[in-house]
Amino acid sequence: MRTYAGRKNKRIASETGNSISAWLPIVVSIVVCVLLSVYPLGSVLANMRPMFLFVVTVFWVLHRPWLVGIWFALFTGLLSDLLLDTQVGQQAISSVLSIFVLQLMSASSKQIADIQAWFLASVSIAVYSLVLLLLQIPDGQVVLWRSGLPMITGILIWPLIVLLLKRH
Amino acid sequence: MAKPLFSRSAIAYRSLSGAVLLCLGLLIWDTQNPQTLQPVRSFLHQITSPASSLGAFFNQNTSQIGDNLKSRQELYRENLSLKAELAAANLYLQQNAQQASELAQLSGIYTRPLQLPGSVQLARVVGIDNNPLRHIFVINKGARDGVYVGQTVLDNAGIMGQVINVFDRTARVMLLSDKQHAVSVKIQRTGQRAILSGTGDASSLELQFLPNTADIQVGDRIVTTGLDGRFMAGFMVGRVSHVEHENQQEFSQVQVLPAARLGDPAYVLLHEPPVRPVMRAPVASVENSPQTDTASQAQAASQTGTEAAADATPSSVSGTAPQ
Repeated sequence: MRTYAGRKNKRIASETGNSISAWLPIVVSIVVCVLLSVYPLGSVLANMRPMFLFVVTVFWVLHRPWLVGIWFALFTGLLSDLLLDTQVGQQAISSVLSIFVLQLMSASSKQIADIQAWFLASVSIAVYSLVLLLLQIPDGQVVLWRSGLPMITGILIWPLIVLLLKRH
Repeated sequence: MAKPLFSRSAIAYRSLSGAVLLCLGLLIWDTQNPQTLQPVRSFLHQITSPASSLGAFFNQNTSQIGDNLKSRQELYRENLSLKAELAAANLYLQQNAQQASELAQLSGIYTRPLQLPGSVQLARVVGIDNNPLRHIFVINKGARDGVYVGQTVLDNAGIMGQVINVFDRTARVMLLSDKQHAVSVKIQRTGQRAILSGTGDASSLELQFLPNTADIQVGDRIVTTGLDGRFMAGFMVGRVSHVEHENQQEFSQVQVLPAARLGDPAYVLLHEPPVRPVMRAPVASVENSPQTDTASQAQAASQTGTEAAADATPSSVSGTAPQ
């Protein structure tokens, strides 16, 4: 059975967690996601653009749990808020709550297959979109399909993210 | 054999509580001080501007390849040039109509120096903002082309918005329809001043602080006053599309149909006035929501008519600090 890289216990974390090589792919992927988030697209494509930063956050929370977690989710959420001109805290709180849900779901699992990881990521992305939608309702002009499209593309892009980042 | 997974210790409830509290604090703080983090946002946009430039480059090249397949490059350039000329001619027409109206209205008592529209520069829209709640797009002209923060952006029918960030080769433009945009305007027929703010809907703007007793009709032309020190006076903004008077309310509810095509523009014009306007608002900016200032302005407008509200506009809602 094909599984994700195992989550390590604290002893392993202390051995590997602080190395630069462990953080390097995380930092590089975040920088690439930032650029992808602000790359100018036409109106059709822009509405379909997935939430790259959050999807990659989910990936690293699943694959490097001893390195990243709630506070990393807070950081990427705040980065999204500042980059995308949303109210500071909106995407951050969505990210934090979604990652927490992800951690809750994955806490009881001893092993996980690719398809299960995709399911967990999908639920987390859906929670993220839902919380963000609820927080943006007071701002008005919330269009469901505009919130739904990035969620769907975010879920669909997951295998590609796994393919690109899993070996690192 | 599958590796053991998720051998995690206790769920980090403490971290969750701390992070959520921090987020809530930031949310409240950002609501009350929307300008504080503006330099950070600008810095982030600045350091990620190479992505915008790259997008502008690819957009322009792929578009030109398409044009070459359709027609010759020379015809394409000529077409762009004619578009710019036509837009400039329409600007002159807008100005002349405004000046004729004012002259007739004031019966020669007051004259002001003619404000020539200056020059215009054609820019291509290379992308829109990722946030669906904002009406911001990216154009392929930047500091190298002389674009500056606060520069008026328009098409051949009227004002579209203003430049809010300038990078080396690109710039970000906030449309009139953005919820955080407002501009000082007047009804061309009567001269009544008010504030026109975005609603988040590209096909509808909202006229604020217009007393219930004001003379306004569906179809009235709305033009800029120039009082905000940002937009020159007399530019066409839109036409009144809906008026609602309610006895219980102090102000009328007026909707305006924007003259410019705000929906999905391919090209825009950057207006360069003969003399760049003096930015009167060093602190407040378009990022400062008009709704946050409405209480004091509404009070002033109720006491002294729309004069007070319109005069309050430049310093409160329509300026952007030069960067």
